[in-house]
Amino acid sequence: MARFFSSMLRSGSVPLFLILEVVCVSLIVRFNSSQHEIAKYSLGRIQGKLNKWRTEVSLQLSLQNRLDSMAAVQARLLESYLSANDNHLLLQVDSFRAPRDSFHLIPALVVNNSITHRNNYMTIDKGRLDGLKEDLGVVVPEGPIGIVIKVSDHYALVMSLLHQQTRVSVQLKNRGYFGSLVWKDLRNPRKMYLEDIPRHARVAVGDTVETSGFSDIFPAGMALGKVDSFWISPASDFYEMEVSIWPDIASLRHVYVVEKLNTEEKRFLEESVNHE
Amino acid sequence: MSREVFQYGLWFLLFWLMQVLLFREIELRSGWLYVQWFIYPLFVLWLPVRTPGPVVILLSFLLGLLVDVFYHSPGVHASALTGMGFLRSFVLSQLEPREGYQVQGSPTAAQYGLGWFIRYSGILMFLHILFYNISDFFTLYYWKDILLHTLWSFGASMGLILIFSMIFSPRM
Repeated sequence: MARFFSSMLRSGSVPLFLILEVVCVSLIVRFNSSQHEIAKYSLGRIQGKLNKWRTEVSLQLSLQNRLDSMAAVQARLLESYLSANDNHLLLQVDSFRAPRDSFHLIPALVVNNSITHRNNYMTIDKGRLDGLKEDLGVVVPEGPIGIVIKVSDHYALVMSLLHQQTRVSVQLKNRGYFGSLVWKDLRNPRKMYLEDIPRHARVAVGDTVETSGFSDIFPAGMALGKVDSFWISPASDFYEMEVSIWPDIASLRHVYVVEKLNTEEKRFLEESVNHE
Repeated sequence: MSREVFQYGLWFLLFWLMQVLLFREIELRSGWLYVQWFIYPLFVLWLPVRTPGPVVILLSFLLGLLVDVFYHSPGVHASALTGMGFLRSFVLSQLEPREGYQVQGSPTAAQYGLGWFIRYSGILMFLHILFYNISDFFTLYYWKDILLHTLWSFGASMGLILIFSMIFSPRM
């Protein structure tokens, strides 16, 4: 059998057959009226399908472009909103201080994510070449979601809020008390705990929790959830609060990396002391 | 060799003229819508076993094209017969008798037996007529009609070919 086919290939039967069939089909289509009509109709249909397919693809591409540009627009809007928020807070403290803290936001797409482990990470599609570096915050409009811990040229690894070691510096809106937000309930990706609020603070269920901005990782005043319940943990002078957070880390797509500008001076000052 | 070429040249003309002058008229006058009488493929069936593949294909194409001239269907018979010429070497290799083919001579009933010849011609005739009808309808939408035309014409043409090859046969 194999010998038969190889001999057929060598004898040139196959190309000759194919060429002659092409000639025949073109003769048929050209000089036979009914076949001509059928061919024209079929070709039209194929062309129509191709056109439709092409239109869909280009629509898809333009939609993708629109999404990207909308992500950029949203990033700028968030930027100015967050900066205004942050400066507003500072202005309350010291009205002579000119607004100078501002943020730069880089839109990114989540390309890998997990919520089921004890320590969860996500990967985003922007890296060192896009201006990312370690210890930058990652946010969505609903609130912060993680911190960049490692960058490669084109990707970055983000430590999710859903991580045993995450401690976000937050405060109770309009009350001023600050504490740390941690993740303890491994089964629930939307429930976190607020610790270190002193027991003399006046708190209420439904209080809004927002970022404090102390760490420079996240902008100050970014609301991220509300208090569900609270109690005083035994043998301590601090509240323990159950907070339901707004960002849905289980369904992330478009995120923004926040870079706070002009942080060197503050960090330099802070690194000069040792808390231990 | 030249005698062989001359003889097959005559067969070529004879089958062509028989098809376009005799059987085409019969088809036109009989009024049997589904039946077409194919005699000319017998020329391709009868070509010597050792004929090189490309020669078989080329002769098939030419004969088909000449038949098309009279049927006013350029390319329809030619495409089918070219296909049959192409498949002939494959069918021959599949049906090769245990002792092989003779160096000279045609694949005929006299040479390899009636049963063998019916299988050989049956397979190729069916493929040819099916191919012809597909080219003719040029769509698989009417597949039932294609099948019906093919079966009727196949029956008629096989009868014709078997009777003809009992009366005549290419002599070496």
